[in-house]
Amino acid sequence: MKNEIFASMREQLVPGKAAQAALQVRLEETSHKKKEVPMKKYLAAVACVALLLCAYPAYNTLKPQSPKLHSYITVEGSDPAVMKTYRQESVDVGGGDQDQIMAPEEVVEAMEAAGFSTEDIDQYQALGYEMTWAKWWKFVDEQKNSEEAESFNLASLEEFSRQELSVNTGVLDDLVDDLPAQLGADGYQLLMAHFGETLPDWYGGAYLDEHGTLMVLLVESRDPGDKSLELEVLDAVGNIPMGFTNAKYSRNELDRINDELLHIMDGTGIFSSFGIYDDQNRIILDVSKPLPEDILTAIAEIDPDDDAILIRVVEGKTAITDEWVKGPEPIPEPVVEPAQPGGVTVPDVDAVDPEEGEDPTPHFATEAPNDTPVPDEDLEAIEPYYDGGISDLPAKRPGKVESAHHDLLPQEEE
Amino acid sequence: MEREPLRTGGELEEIIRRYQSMVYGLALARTGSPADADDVFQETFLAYYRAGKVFREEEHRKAWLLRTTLNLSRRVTQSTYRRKVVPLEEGEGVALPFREPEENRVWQALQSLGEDYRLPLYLFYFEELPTDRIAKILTLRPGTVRMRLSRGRDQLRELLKGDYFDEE
Repeated sequence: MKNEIFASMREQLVPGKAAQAALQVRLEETSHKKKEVPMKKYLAAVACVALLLCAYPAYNTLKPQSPKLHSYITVEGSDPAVMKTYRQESVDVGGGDQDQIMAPEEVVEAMEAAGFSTEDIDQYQALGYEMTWAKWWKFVDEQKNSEEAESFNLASLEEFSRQELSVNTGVLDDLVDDLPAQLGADGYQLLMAHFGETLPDWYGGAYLDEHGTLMVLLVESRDPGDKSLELEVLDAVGNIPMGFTNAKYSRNELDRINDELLHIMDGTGIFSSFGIYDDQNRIILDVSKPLPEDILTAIAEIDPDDDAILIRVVEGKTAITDEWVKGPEPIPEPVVEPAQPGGVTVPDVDAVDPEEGEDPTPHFATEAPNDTPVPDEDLEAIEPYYDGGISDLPAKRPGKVESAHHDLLPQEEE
Repeated sequence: MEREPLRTGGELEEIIRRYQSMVYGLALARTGSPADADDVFQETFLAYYRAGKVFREEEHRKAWLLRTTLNLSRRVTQSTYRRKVVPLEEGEGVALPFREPEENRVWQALQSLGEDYRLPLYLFYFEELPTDRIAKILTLRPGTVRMRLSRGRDQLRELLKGDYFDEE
């Protein structure tokens, strides 16, 4: 085809002036709209965010609140030593640095490295001090800086241990810590006498620390901060050495919570043990199984901050004793039986039922009127004695001798 | 594409000036109505502005405009309103856009062809596009385009009694 005619026609194919003008107008409008659209989007986004921010708290406020449950911890094992360790860890966490008690072999190794003799090590370990790593390095540091001619001797270690460490045996407890503990106890009595029947609300409790020093807890929220409370306590205690620590709960509050806890636990049928621990400024409740939700809810109501009561569920514990709260019971004195001739004991005669007839088991003579047991001569134990030489021994070992008990067994009928 | 197209000498105005004949002509060939072609012309460049597309090559921009023109033309001709209302031009005879009678005769002959032949012929003769690009724009195979061009050219030759055709 002839391209010229198409080129001419193409040049004439232009939209009308009105269409071009309309396009310009619409482009202008579109341009303005396009500038407005992002603003609308931003406004919508801001509105959505604001709605979310307002709606969430409103939802939390309006939604039905599920009852709050008190927390509890589960402790495996029933060994009181475990509980003791746990308490120690709890105090350490709150108190700052973690320290670990040295195992006996670690003490031996450390003392050997420090130049102690085996006799010194044995003698020191017999004392029963609970050496910790931090204390040990403190002792080593002191000895290195000591001006004494002989450092690292047993006497210095004993002196250091007496001042720094608690003792693992009750006997030594009395010997070593008796004096400061007695002073602390005296201070406590003076303080209670000062308070009278009503404890002040700023008083959080008192306890004797591991050195026997009286520690008095002051409730932070009620401490004016002008040392007036400390001065009042010091005036009451006198010259007895003591210290202060901060507490959240007053002793009165803990007493009230303790009473309410008693009311809650009473009649639940759950074996429990609880009491106020002044050194931890809280109540520790030990239970033998997890508490049901209704009890946890009730406890949460009396302890809304969840820190006045520590609930410990001791798995595997079938009974809870006061050992956890009051410390180990004293070891009972061993029952001493009267020594009997021949090394035999006297059975309870009353236990033999006279209607059974003759007792097939070997029996002993009844007690004599003068309460001295007289054994049957036939059944007295005779110490075997051989006074001949080795050559006089029989060539054949004696056969097995059936016991008298075996002979007296009833024979079965064939 | 710049977002400041409406200022004098802006890029959009240059693009409109450069491609308005192509868009309008294809719309007119597709719809057969100058009024519809005016509408399609506006809508095409509005769509171009709104899309804000960036083209690596000018050929891509041209292909996008042709493709959009065809789509919008189809939307206009297939709308419910368009199907119920007879355009004024069709009732009173189309107002021919060309100055020369022979040009109007060629245009009328082209418009009398079916759409399958009319659009390839327009793109081939008026826009001077090769068959492979026509195939892409019309979403056809190149062989189909060549076949339609051949048949459409035969029909056009018959309508125009052999005039305006270079005998090769």
